[in-house]
Amino acid sequence: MLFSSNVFLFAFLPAVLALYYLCPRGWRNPVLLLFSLAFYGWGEPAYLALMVATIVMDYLCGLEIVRQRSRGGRGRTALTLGIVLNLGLLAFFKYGRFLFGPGFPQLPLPIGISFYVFQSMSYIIDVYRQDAPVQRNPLTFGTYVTLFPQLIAGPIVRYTDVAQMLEHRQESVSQFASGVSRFLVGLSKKVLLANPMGSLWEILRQSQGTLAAWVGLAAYSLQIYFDFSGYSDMAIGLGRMFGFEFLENFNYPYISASITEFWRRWHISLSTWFKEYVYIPLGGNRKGLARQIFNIAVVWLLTGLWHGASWNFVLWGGYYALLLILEKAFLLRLLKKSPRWVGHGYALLAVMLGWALFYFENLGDLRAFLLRLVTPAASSCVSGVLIGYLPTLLAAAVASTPLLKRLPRRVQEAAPLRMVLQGALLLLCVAALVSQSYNPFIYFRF
Amino acid sequence: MKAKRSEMLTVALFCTFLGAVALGYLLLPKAAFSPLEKRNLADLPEASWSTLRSGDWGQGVETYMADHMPGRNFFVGLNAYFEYYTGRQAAKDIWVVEDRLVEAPVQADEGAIRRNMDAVNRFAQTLGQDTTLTIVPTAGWSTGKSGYPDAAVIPAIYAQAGENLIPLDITDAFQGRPELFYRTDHHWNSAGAYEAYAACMAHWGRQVLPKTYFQVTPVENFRGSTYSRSGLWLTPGETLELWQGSDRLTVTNGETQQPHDGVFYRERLEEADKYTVFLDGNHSLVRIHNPEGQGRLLVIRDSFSNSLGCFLAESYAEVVLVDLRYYRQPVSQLAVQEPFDDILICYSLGNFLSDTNLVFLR
Repeated sequence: MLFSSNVFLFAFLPAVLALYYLCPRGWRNPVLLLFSLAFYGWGEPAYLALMVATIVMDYLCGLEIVRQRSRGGRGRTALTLGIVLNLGLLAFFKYGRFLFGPGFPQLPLPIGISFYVFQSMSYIIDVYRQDAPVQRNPLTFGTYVTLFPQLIAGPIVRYTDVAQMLEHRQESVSQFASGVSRFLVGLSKKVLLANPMGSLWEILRQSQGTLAAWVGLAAYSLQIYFDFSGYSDMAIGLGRMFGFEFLENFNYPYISASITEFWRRWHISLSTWFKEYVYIPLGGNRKGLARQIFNIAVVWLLTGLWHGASWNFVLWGGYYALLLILEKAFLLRLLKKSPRWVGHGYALLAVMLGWALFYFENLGDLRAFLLRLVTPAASSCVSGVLIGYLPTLLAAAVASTPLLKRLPRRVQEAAPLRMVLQGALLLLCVAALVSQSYNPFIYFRF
Repeated sequence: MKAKRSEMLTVALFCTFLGAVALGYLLLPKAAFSPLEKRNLADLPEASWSTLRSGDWGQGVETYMADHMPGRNFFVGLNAYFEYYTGRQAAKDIWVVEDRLVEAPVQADEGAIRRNMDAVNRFAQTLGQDTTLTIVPTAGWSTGKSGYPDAAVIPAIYAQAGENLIPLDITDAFQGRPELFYRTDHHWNSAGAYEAYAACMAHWGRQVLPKTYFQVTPVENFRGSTYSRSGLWLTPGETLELWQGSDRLTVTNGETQQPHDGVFYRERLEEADKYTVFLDGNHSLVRIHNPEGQGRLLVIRDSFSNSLGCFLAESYAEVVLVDLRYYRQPVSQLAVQEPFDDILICYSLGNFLSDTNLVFLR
């Protein structure tokens, strides 16, 4: 189920909110678990079994680590088994064809598997490292793994960050209200900015001309940012409605002045995960420059692969590994000495080209598109579209920076203004969602 | 921490909105048919083990909920005006040009032109009889707005006419004259259809009845197809004109053999799509009889000829209109069984480019 759907907004959400708050406190986690499973099974009920199996497996792994430790061991066997099983699942469903070729059975990708497998792994690793207590209640553990706000598109919530909240959270009106605001911001990002930018990219991608290619790539860069950060905002907002606080996942990535900075601002929960569970265990930057370069390369090739089982994602990860290594070697020092706009221009350009690598799964298409970017050619018959989309494009560009945060506090905190604005955004989002199904037939009943 | 008043209000308003819409779904009566969209709305899917397992049930529920959203037309209109005022109509399929709602420019597709012209040429050749081809330009092009390729595409179509196929170019009559089309519908209006009628009569050397011959009955509040598709509900309606000529015309169509007096089906004026007043809308085969007319005419056509047919019938003893989207028998056989004096193939440019049924023309 998607947040930006009628079923979610007007059936699922009212039902789960009503039941959650009508139930006594002890029932609230089971209610969340039940609804989260329904949320997950909505599109592909077949994979509900997989989800339940993942929960049971990681729950037992956690218990086993603690049991081995109580017998004087460190729980290494249980940890290894847990990691192998989790990665095995991911490899089977996501990378089978990529690794073993077209002979491997083609299975539909279980939705959100990359997110919940990483999340479950963080649990067993944290328990092993004694960063988090073991969870003995299977229902509470199930609630953690399936929590519908962040189940299918993150942020990747580490068990340590929510362990406390899972058992002792105190919902409040203030938190709920801030959740509503955050959810509406996210919904608007997705429906009012990401979707139109997506349509613009669709149109410009297929047309000819250099300008169209550049504007199209800018539109795609904005689409992917608003789509993903909008989803994270909705997740954070929904979490607050149920008393959870998730960590931030985006922090205006497009204002970065270097790629190092960009990856501190983009999909923070994923970079943190790789840093915590891969980069630092490999030795990070503590074992000399050569080892650090190797570690960066490993982390970024894995990050690329995490995004999809296809060579262009490996290329995309490798591209960022290269940029980050160059920055470590000398580029960052150079950028520091240059005027600020140089860094911003470089980072933005590098990120946009990165999105081209990200988008085109077919290397031939990628090459053709990159050539369009550098071959001067007039853009034919798209000027109307370009001019028409200019207001939305500009609005999206402004919204991707913290410019609005510079408004006087008086304006930002004016409650009536905020409520009117959010009400209007909600109506516009619903209008856009409803209109997707509005398709008149010109010729009545063929 | 005590919640602020504005926070309580935010929570209350949000929950009330979600709850009210949810209740609306449960309590409001459901329409089975949308007159604006001219289509049946989705039914609630039946839950079974197999539909649940495949995810079809979930899909069906989403479609159902989107179709039956309380206040759906309001939201569709809100979205249409939002997109219009933020300038995004260039990417939509209906454009606002001054006070008119017109279809966006057609995409000229060389392959489609060749395919359809091959079919038409083959038909004319097999028949061995002069066949006239007329392509109606689009309402958008007639406004003079840039981006409409009609003036280049229509001659390119005519240039591929082979033996026995005679193009009848009527574009000049429509250039810069948007008043010959409806403001809220993609069809030509009666004045536009009259222009085409006059061109046809001159082409075949027949007498053209003057405009004054017709008695005009205005019908108010017509809102046509481009209105429905645009979602711009505040666009005012317009006048649809019925040009009444001879009162001795009778119509039979494929489904009913009972002749209908006159070419106008006035009961259709009560419906959302009033354009069906002409010849009862689209039928596979329509015959118009005129006891005072001479000769027989075959028209292979789209819906533009619903109004054109009414004029052509003034001249012929019988006009037979064939719509290939519904008519599946060989038309050449029809032409052999009942010989025609004249044959016309009349398509709007948009339909000619997108039509996939012309290849069935035999």
